[in-house]
Amino acid sequence: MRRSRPILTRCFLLAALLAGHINVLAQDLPIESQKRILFPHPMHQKWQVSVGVTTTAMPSDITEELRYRIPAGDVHILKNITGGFYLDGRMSVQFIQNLLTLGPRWAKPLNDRISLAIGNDIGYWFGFINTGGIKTKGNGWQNYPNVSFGYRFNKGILLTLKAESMMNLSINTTAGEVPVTYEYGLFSGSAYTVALEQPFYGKKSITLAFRAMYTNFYWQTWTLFETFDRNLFFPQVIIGVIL
Amino acid sequence: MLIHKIIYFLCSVLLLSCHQTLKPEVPEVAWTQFDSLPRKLSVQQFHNLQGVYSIIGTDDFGPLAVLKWSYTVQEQDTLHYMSILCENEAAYFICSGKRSGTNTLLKGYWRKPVNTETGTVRIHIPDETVGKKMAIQVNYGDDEETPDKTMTLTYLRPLNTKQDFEIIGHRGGGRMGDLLPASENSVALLRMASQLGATGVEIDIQLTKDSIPVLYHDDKINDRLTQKAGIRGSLNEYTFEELSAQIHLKNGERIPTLEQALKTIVFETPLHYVWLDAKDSASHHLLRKLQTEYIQKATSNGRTVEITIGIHDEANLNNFKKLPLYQSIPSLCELDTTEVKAINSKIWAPMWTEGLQKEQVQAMQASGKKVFVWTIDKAKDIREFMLEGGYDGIVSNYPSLVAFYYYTRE
Repeated sequence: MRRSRPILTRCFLLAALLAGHINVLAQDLPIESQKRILFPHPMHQKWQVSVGVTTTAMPSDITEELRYRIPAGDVHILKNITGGFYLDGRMSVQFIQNLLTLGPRWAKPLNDRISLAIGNDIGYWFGFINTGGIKTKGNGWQNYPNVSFGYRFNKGILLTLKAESMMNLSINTTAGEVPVTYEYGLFSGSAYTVALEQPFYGKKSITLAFRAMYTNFYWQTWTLFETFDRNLFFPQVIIGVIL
Repeated sequence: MLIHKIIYFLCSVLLLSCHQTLKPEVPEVAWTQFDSLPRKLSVQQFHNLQGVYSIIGTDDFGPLAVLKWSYTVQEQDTLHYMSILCENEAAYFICSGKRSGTNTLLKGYWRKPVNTETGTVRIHIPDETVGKKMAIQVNYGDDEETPDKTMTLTYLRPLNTKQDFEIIGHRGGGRMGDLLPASENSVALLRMASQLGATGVEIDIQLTKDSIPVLYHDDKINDRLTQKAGIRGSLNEYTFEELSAQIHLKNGERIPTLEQALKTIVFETPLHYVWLDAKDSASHHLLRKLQTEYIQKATSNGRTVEITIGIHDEANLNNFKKLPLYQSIPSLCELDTTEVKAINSKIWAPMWTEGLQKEQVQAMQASGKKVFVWTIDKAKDIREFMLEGGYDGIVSNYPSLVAFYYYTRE
């Protein structure tokens, strides 16, 4: 058995560990005054908006010689509802292919520093791409049940660990006029995110996250019409500014 | 603090879990009864086992199995194999055979190329069971475990061979991403292709700096196809000697020359069709020379091997037209049917995304051309193009699946 570990992944996680460690002893900042988008905690504001980019490395097993990492523009919006409930909506935009997700969250602080959240996002992706003179189009519904664990360090450092199940509810693709068969199962894999959020310039905050996806279908690869029924690794880096 | 330790632990777990897909090795488990035997099976004994069988006792591989024998020649020794081709997840078994008294023993491995599942297999066939009502007990296991699961193959009918149909292994038999034990476009994979059910192969040709046609798909030397090496860039920046000295394909093989590949196909395998897909259109005159030479060598060896030069774009076409008497050169054209007729290609090869194109297919066949479609890997599409489209051949990364549907046709 052979394996390789991406250096980027290791560097990011080591940086996350160090950042957390350094800030453990720094001055505290109350949670109410901290902006956050991924950290699982009941909202104090009506809305919270973040804009940023997400870049995903595609495995060569399916992209072959095309090594592309096209960043997607991200808009992430939280809407406070009541009593620890809020709505989480996200738009991931590449124009030729896009993903929208929306779902409820329920967050519960366990103590002054630790909090948890559970949620479920419904996602819809769609795309239109002309590949090699063939007009391809695709869309699909997805579902992401998720659980998040948050730890608030001193000085406003928020660490979030999030686990998601990735489910395909439908996949519809066509190449020209030919419907492309996708034999997919309901459960396509899982994703694990480690995220840091902290105050940035002005009154803004910044999100820096690494998401490791292990899935047999990632929506951004629908044009490749791949046939594998095994989970491939899609590392993703997420950077956002919370407005 | 305990919580910090927990966080560090969780991050460490994530850190350590970040690895790519594990590559399945070919599993092997000792079977003393088989390993100690010197006697190999004869061609006739392999032939007697060929057929379409029902699978009883497991849903792991689908309801039917195709048993088809093949061979490779290595160092003047002919090695025969029995392949069992199944529907589920393009599963295939590859077994070698021996005789033990009045029994036939088969030993090998199975694999599902769409995922990483694999395992061992042992088959024990007493002579008295061989015949039209044959029921073969198969023991198989997962990974390198002793094969402790059982299924029974019950003979249903002979293999379909009514239609003239080409089962073409893409890139010599499959992609690197399918995690086969041999690299794409390697001699090892060409030897394996017929065990995967292929009757022909498509291979990718590029020129080295010293104008030697070699098999390689990508534009650059990269980590997808090669083990880590000190050189990077395009193949045409290096001589063949430099490439041979410094580059190993992913599974350890050397980049083969086209001549090595054709020699392997003609003299060491039962493959009878080759599609030369030239990435560098300037190489056509070199391809033509080797094409002529190996068609003749095959004929001298008592075999018919059809070798066609592929034409996939305008530059390719224009260079092909510069060859003397190009209309008499066996070629395959991916462009529209007008061009196919203009250069008198023997084969028209549209991409599957163009759709079934039944009328054009029938028109080309009526004018004496064959029509192959590329590259189809999904079961439903393979069935559709084979049964409804009426194509004469399918290029696939899963030739075992194409072979399954072809041989089980009624």
